[in-house]
Amino acid sequence: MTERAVGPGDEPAASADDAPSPPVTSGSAENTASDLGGGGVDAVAENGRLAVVCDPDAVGRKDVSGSLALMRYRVETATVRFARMTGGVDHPLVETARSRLKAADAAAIHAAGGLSPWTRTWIGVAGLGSAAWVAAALCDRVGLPAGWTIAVAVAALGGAVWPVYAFTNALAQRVDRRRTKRPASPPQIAAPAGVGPAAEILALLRMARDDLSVAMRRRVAGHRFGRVARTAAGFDWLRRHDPQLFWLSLADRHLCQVICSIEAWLPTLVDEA
Amino acid sequence: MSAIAAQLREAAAVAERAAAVRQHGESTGPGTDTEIIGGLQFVAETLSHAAGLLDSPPVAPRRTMIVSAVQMGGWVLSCTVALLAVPHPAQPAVLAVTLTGGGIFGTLLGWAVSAVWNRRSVRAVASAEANYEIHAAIDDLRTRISACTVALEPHRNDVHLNVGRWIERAQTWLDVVDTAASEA
Repeated sequence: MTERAVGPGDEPAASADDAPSPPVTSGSAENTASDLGGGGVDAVAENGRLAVVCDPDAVGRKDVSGSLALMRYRVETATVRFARMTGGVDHPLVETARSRLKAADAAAIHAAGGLSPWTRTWIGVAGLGSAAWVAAALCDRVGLPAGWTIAVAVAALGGAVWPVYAFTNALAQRVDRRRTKRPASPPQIAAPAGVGPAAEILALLRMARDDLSVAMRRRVAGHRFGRVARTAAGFDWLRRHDPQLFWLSLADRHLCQVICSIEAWLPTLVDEA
Repeated sequence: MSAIAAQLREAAAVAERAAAVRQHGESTGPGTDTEIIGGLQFVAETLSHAAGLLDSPPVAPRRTMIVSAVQMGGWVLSCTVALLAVPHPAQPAVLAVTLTGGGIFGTLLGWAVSAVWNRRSVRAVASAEANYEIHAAIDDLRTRISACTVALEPHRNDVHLNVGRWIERAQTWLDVVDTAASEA
């Protein structure tokens, strides 16, 4: 009986408060990445990006949650390496990258699907029904007239709506986290010699985007209206009407923001040097 | 002021839609559009934030409100009918079953309305024009943002100056998107 509100207003903490001033680029991010440790983003991308010792099927990429677990693992790794790389750096673009990394992770958790509408309904029935029953039983014991008993039971049910809603959402969040937790045998991520930290982080983020792309394709393929996503307008329609695809798409856009911000920030290092 | 906020939110929705369309393009075509998608998302967030400075958050979409009203109406109506029909409506078990049963009935009614709505709008989307051009979307966004800037001109208080600064940021991100789209 309670539904999780989904929509742009329900987005995770990626408010525009920390939206940076747009970048003023001088020089390419690829060059700067090379300067930071060699390699270069394009070279890394062409050479299989990173040496990832992993068999995708072995780490559970059978469903959307499997892809999301991998994506979260890569984002987590990228976050740790980015924090190590930018320790003590106070730049708007770096702050933006940090906040969007968190937002992407939060969106990926939401994208795991939570509880099904029927599960939510039965939890609601149990919670609200119990509240109404307890209130009516107490009124009966006190000896209130029928009209008052009904009024108190309805009021008790109304009062229980918010706690049941909050409980269901907390449960859904827990389920989502469990579904997208780190794979049992996580892929080992090791950058080849000569790849700088910036290139490594960008490559990890691009791989995380690939995981999201797989998850989106699987979601679309499994959706009853999935055929409309063959066109761009149809995909946009599906994104706005399917909560899971909405969060997947949002997580992907946040990752794009992170990549954008890092690529725009890297040339400023050269300028400062 | 709510008119300007509504315009800004519409522009934000256009930017978000354009980003989603590029996401779709990535999955069906070669190459990646990271800079375009990220830039458009920045434009959308910046414009939404500017709208939030002028106005309170928007109310739920019309469809959500109608479905909620149907759910609530179904609940109230079914409970009233059931409580009038049963011989001992104040018994705890009867009350609990009636109220929760009415809730399930209302939920099912809401789902039915949503399903019908979805079917109709899916048909409309399926027959819609499939072509989508990023430069046309950027031009559309520029026009919308310029209209907001013009509408803000006569007002000169702190809030409006702040909104103007956010709109400038959105325009600069739009320039980044435009450059990336031209290079793609």
